[in-house]
Amino acid sequence: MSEHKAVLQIKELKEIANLKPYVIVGVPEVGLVGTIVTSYLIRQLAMQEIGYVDSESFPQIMVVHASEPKYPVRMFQHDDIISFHSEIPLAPRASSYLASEIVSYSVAKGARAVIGITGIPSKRRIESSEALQVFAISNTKDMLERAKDAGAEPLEEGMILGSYASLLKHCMAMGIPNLTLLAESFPEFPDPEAALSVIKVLSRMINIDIDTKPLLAESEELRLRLRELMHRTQQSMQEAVKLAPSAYA
Amino acid sequence: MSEEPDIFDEMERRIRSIFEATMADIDEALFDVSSRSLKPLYRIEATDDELIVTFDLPYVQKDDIRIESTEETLSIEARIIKPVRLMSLAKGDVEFEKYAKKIRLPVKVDPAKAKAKFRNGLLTVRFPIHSRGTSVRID
Repeated sequence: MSEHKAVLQIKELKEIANLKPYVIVGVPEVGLVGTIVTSYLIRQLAMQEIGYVDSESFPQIMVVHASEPKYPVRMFQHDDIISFHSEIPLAPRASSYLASEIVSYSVAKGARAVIGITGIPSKRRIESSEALQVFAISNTKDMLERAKDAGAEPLEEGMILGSYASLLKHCMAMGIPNLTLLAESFPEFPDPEAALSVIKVLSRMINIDIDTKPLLAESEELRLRLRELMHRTQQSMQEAVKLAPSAYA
Repeated sequence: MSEEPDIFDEMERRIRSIFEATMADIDEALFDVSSRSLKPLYRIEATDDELIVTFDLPYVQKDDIRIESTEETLSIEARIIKPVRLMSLAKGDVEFEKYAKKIRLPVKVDPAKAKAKFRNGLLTVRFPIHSRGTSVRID
């Protein structure tokens, strides 16, 4: 399918066909916004685990949930939504392979769009938790318009780094719609409130009904429990940042 | 052989301490079982005239935070509203009761001039940095 199939494989536990899905991707990066969003969607929509991703480029980690060993990068499905969720930070090479295979998979499944969710470091975030803005980047005018109608602001100038840049790049190369939603967030603290602002935009865009109250109520607890993941994510993001001129878009 | 400290020894000592401080931050565990404390996430930012240290302190009330500073260090301790258990083998069956962290500051500060603010679970401590500059002549 693609040049990276040898080093990274997406394994379906359940065959997915004729869905024309939205593929939503959450990996730990800026403020852990992406992973907080995908894990919340998985729980609130009671999404079904339908597969996992394995790669020699991933760190040697398995996770255990309710006494069951699991791959740290898994895929979930509910109605026409497929979500890729990573519980571990990925080094630049691994995240690039992952992005490439997710896009190939999305093309093969006739996906309507690949949606990447992350944060954008914001200086004013520290002063305010009200009305956090969500920025949108897309390779199609249609997706950008829809994001705008749902309350996002098209990003006019700036840059994105890491997994989400890879996703966008591979979507452009394969000619499939990509949407990247970036919430104003703390770069180095877990940011459930930023995740909340993305969920509001996303739910309007793809017509899902999500109760956001539990996320707000759990916000402080999540910040406490996600410290270690944030810390490790910071370390791995620093490697990616070294290659870029500035972390601030 | 001179009894006076060698300037190169002194330089090496200082480089080593900077190196150790940096490495310690990367590898350091974010908890301490013996004192039942968690180490908070934090960031240090230096502008032209300020050194700003921000700590992420979820589950903390303003009145339960203690801050101490010297010219070179900043220490904070904050009680967590209710003790938390974090599942992991390394941490064992421990209830963590507080955050505690001591930071070596990258520049000398005047601790008496520090200002602190706590909002949305974030503690921000600001130190003014005065760079009393001397003009430099170009030959």
